[in-house]
Amino acid sequence: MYCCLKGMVVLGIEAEVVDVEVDIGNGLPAFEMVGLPASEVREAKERVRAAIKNSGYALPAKRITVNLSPGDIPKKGTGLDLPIAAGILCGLGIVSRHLAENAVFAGELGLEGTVRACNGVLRMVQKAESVHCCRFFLSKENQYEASVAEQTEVIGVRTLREVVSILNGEAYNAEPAVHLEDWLRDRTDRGDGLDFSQIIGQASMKRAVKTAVAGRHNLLLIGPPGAGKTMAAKRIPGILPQLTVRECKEISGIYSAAGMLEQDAFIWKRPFREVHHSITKQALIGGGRYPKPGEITLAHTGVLFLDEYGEFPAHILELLRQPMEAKEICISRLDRRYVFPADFMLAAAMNPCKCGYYPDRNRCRCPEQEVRRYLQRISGPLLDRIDLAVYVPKAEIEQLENRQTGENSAEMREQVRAAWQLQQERYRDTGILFNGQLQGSQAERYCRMTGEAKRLLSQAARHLEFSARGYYKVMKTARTVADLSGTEQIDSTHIAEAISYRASDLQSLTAETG
Amino acid sequence: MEKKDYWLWLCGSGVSRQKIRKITEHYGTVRNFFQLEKKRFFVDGILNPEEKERLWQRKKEKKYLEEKEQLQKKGIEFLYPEHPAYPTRLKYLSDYPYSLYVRGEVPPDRQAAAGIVGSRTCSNYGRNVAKEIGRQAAAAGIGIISGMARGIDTCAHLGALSGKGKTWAVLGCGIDICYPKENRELYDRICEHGGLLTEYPPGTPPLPILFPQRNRIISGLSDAVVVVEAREKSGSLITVEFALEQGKDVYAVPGRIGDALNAGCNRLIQNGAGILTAPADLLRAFGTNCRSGQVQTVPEFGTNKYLTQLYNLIKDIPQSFDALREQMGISPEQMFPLLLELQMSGQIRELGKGCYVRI
Repeated sequence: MYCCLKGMVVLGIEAEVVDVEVDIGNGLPAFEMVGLPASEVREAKERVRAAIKNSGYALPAKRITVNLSPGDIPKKGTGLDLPIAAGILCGLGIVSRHLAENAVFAGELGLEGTVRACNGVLRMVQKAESVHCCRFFLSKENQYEASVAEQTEVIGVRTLREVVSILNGEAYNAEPAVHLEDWLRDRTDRGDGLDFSQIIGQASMKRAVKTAVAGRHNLLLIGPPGAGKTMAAKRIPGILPQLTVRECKEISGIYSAAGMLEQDAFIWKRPFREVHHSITKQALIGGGRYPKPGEITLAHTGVLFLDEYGEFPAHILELLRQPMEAKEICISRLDRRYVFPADFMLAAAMNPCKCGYYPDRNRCRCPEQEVRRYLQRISGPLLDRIDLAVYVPKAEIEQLENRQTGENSAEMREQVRAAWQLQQERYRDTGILFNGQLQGSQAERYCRMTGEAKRLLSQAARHLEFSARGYYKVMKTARTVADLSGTEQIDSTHIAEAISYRASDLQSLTAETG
Repeated sequence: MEKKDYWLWLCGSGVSRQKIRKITEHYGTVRNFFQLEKKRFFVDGILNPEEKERLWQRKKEKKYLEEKEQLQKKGIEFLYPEHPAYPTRLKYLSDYPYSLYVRGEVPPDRQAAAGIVGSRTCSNYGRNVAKEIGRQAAAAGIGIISGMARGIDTCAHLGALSGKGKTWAVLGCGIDICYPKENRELYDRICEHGGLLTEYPPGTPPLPILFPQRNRIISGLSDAVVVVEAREKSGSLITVEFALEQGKDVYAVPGRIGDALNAGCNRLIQNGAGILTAPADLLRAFGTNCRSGQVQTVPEFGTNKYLTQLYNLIKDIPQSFDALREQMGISPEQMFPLLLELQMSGQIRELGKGCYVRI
């Protein structure tokens, strides 16, 4: 008997429909599987055989051939166990072929006959919807994740026997679908306990962080150890506006494919990914024989944080150039191109010198030239990516005692949201979303300045020796500062503030020896 | 052959100071030693066989004449203890240098001289103090002696140059080597306004063991030694020890309790060093007065009272934006333009990202 069911594989972060063809015929008893199976799919054979037996069905001494089609895409993941088992049961006439052929199956089998969770279910169900599948069988553990589907009926099962009984027409309890918009709205409490009000003092740092977030500028925090750089970076996602439904689906899908989604929840906080400087290329941008999303994709819609920025090798940071402009990363393999989204904000932190205390000469004993050398290490490709740099001083003990908390995350988030709205209106239909993305000529066009502001900028550029790049960076930052204050024209105070954030002359900020 | 040739022959060979002293004590003059015949020369018990061989070769090949020519070509003067230009102050030292290579002029015996020394990794405050003392003292006609090292030394020279006075640098390497390299410009300027001195032959690399010894020349050439910033275990304290041995006055610039950079200075004061509360204290010690018109003027800021207030707040110790704003009690929007204006007018500068100091 022949039958053909639908299964799913996840390649990268994309789900693909796989036709699972099963033929049971006469011949020497055997179980053959063809169609480019990866090793975990090849091993499905043993799980399927035991699961069918332990579910109380007899596997006849016949020749069983399983073909996974299309034959040219690699089959990966454990989700194909269930369609293979269902296909065999169908071929044996144990379940109704008619009902089975209209469904999609995804799940790993235990030897006992239990159906277990597999990765990427959210992406699979989204794909199933797009190809108009009406039923989707999966493990009960995966049901919540898949229940965002509106057109496809999601059926969670615990055992193989349950699949058989449902396919043979028995009734089952349908779980209600999750309405993502309502679900997101209920997630007002961020639950992580991270708030900017926990950072005592540091008013100028908070202000700079807010500015960076409002215009999606890449941010560099410089300061002594223990000043609160990492603390601040971790709180950046909290002042980014809430995820939209579309973004939530996208980022949850990525985490689902990567197997990083928590059970019975979606991603509702913008991700914060902290990366160590020993990271490999593959871990950063994604890679592997079957490419997995890297940190930049996991930070999609959120923040990528590089601590000890100066320690990162240049070739690793060079990799960020293209994805940061394209907002996605494309990884090519022999058989396929994998495209992962990567739209993140870069936050970096570093010490001002080796020991970390410069310019406090009571604690820092680094010779001037050593300080300069340390700062020079982050020249070129690293500094190019930074629009805003800000000093994070060590908090004074009196401040800690007085607990002057300053702004909290909710206030900052509201200001950022207003600034985003202004930008969206300004850049409608231009392909730009944020001030941080403005290129040279566009900056001239969108950054309207008062006469006084223009004078100040050109005067400062001459006095403080800006490069052309530095000049435009100041302009873009000033645009955001003005947006935060809600004014369309940039005036001289905005320019002055933007100039104080410039990072391009970092090396010259040491005391001269001559 | 003149006296200079004998000394060049001996000093240019790299024989240590202690051995040269023994030779002069034993043979009376270098000339006597030079003129020994081969047999007796090699019997000598002061030098080791290697050194004897080297000296004999130098004598035979007349290397010292070549060297003399080279020195003349480069404008380097070679002084030996009996030379009329040899600084009298150094003759009083128990271990005075037998050779002195000089570029520029020699510190005149009649001019008062002050040594200014301190930490190489000094603070901005120390930098400014060293410059100011150097400037005022030099302007009052006091020669400034230092070591051209990074930090305080460099600033002392710079101050002296800005005060249109004379300054001398005692090097711990060959006279033809500029160490540290970035002081090239300073090296040339000191040549013109004072001079460079060293006891090591040209080409000697700046080895760490040479520096403590050159400190005795710094203190030896000075009538008083000023320590601007020194940690508890600072190389500057070696200079102080030499100065005390040589009977020179020692002054220290006091610092705050708990400042590691000033611990050495404060300890000196505790042990009886003179306290320098202003550059004028040093001038008074020399019996001169600060020349009129040398007082630093406070810049004019017109009608903007905030600008003056902010300028007065910014000191030599770097302060962060937040700290300054808190003291000013104004909004960040008001602060940014003020800081930028002071920066552009050259009154203050950024030291490290987001920290501000006076220039």
